[in-house]
Amino acid sequence: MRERLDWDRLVALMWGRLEGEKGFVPANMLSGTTVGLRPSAAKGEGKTVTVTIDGQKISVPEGILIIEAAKLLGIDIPHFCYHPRMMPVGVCRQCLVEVGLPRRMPDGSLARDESGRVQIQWMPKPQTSCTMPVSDGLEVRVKSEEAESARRAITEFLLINHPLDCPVCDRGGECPLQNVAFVQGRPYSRFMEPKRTFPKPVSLSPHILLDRERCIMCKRCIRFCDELAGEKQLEQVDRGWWSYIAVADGEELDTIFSGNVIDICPVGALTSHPYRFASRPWELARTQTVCPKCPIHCTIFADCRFNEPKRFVPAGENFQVNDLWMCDVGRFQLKFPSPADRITAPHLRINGDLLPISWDEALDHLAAVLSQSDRSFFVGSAVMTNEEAYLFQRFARSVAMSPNVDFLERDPYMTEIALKSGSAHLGVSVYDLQQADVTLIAGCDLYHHLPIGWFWVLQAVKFQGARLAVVGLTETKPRIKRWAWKWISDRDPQSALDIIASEVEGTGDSSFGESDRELQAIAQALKSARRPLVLCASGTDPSPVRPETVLRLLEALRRDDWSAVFYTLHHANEVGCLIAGLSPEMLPGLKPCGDQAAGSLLQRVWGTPLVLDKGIGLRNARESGQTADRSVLWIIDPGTIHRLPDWLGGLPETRERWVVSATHWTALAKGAWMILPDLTFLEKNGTYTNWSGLCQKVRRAVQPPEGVRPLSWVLFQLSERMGRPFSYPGPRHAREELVSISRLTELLPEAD
Amino acid sequence: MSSDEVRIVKRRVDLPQSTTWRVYRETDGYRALEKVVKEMTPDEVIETVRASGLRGCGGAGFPTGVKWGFVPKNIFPKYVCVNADESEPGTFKDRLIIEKDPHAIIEGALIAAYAIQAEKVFIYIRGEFGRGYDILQQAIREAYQTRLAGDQILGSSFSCHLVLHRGAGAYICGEETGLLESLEGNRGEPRMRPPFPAVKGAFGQPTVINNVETLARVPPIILNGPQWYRQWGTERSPGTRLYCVSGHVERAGVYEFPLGIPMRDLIEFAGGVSKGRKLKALIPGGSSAPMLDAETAMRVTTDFEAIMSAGSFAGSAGIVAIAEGTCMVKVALRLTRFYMRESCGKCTPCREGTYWLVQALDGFHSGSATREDLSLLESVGKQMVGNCFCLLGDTAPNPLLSCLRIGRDDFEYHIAHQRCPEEDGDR
Repeated sequence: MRERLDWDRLVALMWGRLEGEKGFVPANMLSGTTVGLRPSAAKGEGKTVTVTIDGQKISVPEGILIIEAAKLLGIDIPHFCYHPRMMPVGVCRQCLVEVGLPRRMPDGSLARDESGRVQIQWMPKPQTSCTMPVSDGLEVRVKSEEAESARRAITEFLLINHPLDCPVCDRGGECPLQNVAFVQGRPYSRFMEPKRTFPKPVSLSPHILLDRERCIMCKRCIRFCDELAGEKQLEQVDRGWWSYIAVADGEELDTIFSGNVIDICPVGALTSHPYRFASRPWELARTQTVCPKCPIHCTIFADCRFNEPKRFVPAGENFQVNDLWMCDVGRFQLKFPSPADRITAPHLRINGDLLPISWDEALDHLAAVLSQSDRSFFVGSAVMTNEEAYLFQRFARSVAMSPNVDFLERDPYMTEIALKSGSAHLGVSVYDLQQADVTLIAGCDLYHHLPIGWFWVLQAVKFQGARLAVVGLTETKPRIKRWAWKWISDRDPQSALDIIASEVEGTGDSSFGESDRELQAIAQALKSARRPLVLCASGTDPSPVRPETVLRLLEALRRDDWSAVFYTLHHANEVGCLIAGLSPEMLPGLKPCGDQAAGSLLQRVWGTPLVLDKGIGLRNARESGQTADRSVLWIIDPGTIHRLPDWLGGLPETRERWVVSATHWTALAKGAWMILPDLTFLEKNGTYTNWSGLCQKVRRAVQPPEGVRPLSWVLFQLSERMGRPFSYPGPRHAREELVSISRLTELLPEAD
Repeated sequence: MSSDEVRIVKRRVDLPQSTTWRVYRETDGYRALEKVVKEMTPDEVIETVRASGLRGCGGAGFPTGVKWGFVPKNIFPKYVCVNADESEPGTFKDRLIIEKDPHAIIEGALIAAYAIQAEKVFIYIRGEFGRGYDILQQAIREAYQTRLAGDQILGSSFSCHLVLHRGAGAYICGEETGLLESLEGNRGEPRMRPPFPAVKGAFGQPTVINNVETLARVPPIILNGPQWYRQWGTERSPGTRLYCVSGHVERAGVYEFPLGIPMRDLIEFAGGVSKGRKLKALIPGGSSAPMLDAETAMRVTTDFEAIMSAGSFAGSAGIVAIAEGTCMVKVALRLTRFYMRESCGKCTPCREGTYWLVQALDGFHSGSATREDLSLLESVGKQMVGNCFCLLGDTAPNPLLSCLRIGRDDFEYHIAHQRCPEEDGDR
């Protein structure tokens, strides 16, 4: 007789042999197959109720669902439509259980049998455990014959029209339906008739493909777009067995969060275009790291096969940043050079041609050139880790003895506000943005630049009734506008914020013009808000807000446990680079240049003399007239600059001394005098600091090619050759030193 | 005994120009509304309807007064929905009222609106009722013209507006929450309960949803009092009902009789089983109600309780007689295909189960079925019952399961001869 598999054994069978390898987690853990508590479940205000599930008693918070209570007892009830972050709908019927309530006498007291036990009134038909909240005295049978046969029936129904193409399905191996079929499906099919077919696959967008034959109509994708992403772009079309998921005619699934529907799809119906047929899940090596596409830093898994990244998915349940979600920019636009494109040896321009040379030659040559001038420019970029940034500026200030430290994407306004306020980031975590009750967005396109930031702001608007005001923004498609309480697009952010700031401070001019009334209303709302949030256009935005205005609002809207007025940033580790001192005006720890106390502390810790002066930023290099000598310009190429910025192109006389650390043949690298091969983001170990000051680990997911050395090694080697050697055993030591100098504990990574 | 109809709802249907306000008014029309808004408090109206024992005529038979009483008093706005999406196979009573006595619906709905203090009445009419739609629209126009609807009805402080909404032809929108979804402009699908519509219905507001016939019964009850209504029917199923008798009877039609009369009398009133044949099976309450075999059908009375204890339900009182000589495979296929086409696709067992059943039944029809398919049919049907989101799916296998119970011979005949017994004509 065929032995029935149990769940644990199945998991061990399927994934057991992979234990010990790079922490492989089946992706169904992401798709909500693990039951977590919905944030809304906390409504019961600490009240608990006692329920009995399969004979086990447990006290659980009032208001959670039976399926969640069972999970707390370690009882997994199979399910497809239920998702811990979405409203229950009870459509797949897979989680049917028997439910009984205590019988009550007409006077309201509990009915008891002769032995004094409470009598249970069992409901006449099985109930979906994903829709029924628990109540006191509730009894549930999960493993009874009736409940199990109901669930087996549903599994059979789900499978009759589901194609048997698991061997070629991207989801095969991490598919919730496959798991359930293994556990409780029939070993053969009783359905002999032709299965329902559809043309397939259908492109919902350039990134997402839909296979309607595999779809089981759990509606998770529809509900995600509608409930969470705020753009109802998917719908079930037509009726009954021939109904299918579709976008409106002529439209595409273009919400910036669209990729999440792939993760939450419990079958292989929604698949990723780039990942299509790219790998089997069990061939992937999984590394937890952060997404470098914007300063939100979603924790993600980089899934790599044979040392090549294949896909990026949210790492799940990060309650400070992105929870279970990520945006399409990180998911689909995170691209890395292929091995063939990589620069794997240092190059030097000899007679006009860039020719490969050995590391020793390159380092000797560079050390000699750097020693000739103390006016060299050291230009990092926001892709650098905190540690790289710290080492780079230390090398510049204490080895090359040059104060000209900068990074490509540095926003002068950010430096100014960091110097004045002593902080370079938002005062609340990204995840907590959903607690804001009044939000003002001034001149920055949150949706496109910080999508997950917008995601949480939207949750506040949708579920907490928060008010959203937007000033100085135009949209081609109303992504933000349709949720706005006030939408003022004809004011520039600066003048609008000036008025709002005066009004909030109570120093406003009482003679408001008609056009200012709306601004006044916004100001009043912010003023009386419990948790006001103001996000201002930064120097990278088309119409930036000046730091003085931001600071005024920051002061005026500070609450005891809440401080959320800041710039929106655009580049990955902007915050970390500033804190690490990668700025001509600031030392590590956001101390101004010239600060003697900070200087002597650095000198003591580093054990070498250093340059404390204010340096020249890259943007001012040309005007300063100091570029004419034999100084070096060392740029860390972020790999994303396709066209030289005007202010960079305006430095032709120094190009003969351009050193570029690059991963592949970029525009910058092609014009360089010397190229030093560099690691890509996926090859680094270190930390990143996000928009709200959270420090998270960046982990090496792929091995770098032969011949490519980390920047830290290059700096240590050069420092030795230049007679002022320094080195650290690992990134952690550099980071800890920075923390001890700056006393900024936010540089400690949150989780290991 | 009951050789004559008791005409309460049907009393105007034979009058010439019965749809006009003039004729309606001449036959006590809008007197009940006048009485209600001028002399009664909302609670008194609810109490009167409760005391009459009026039960919902849409299918579930829930006491109307109790339903009105569930509506919270202090939440506004509130709505009344008239369920005129009659589409159960074998049921055509609401259509008669809509086309012959539309003002009765309007008056009943306005009284219901007064009872729960609703500000709007939505009449959701089945998309296929083109004629009914025109007639109702005309009636609504007349009601507005005569100040019986709109602001300050009959000079009182009570205001209520009428909205006629036409469905797009979906059986599921006759399910009350499916109706609400469709009314709100969403995909017609049943909603999760709780919250019940009485608490959170149309557009998130407390809503009472009543069947056309139910509301048409309200004005006479208000005018004549609950005891008057209780003179007919049984203790728990008082009053009369419109019975839609169809199928193999000589005179199909809508007949109004007290609840609790014997089913046999009803069939006889409709002229008996056609061509003198014997009864084979009987659907007592619309096609989703389990069929009764001939013997039970001739024994049972027509009140809710009696049919329930016979193993079926009174439902929408759509009574379909099936005579001897009818192939039950054909009946099962015909009815199950209806449920397959009307399944909304929301929940798994209904969406996939109805499809499977039709595929399997097609096998019987085309002659490819084997003996195993017989037990498969039964097993698949039973796997649906009780596991679906709404009653559509839970009851969709009923016709098939009934046919298997009553007409198993026909299935066996199909397996053995690969053809329909009807074609052979030897039976």
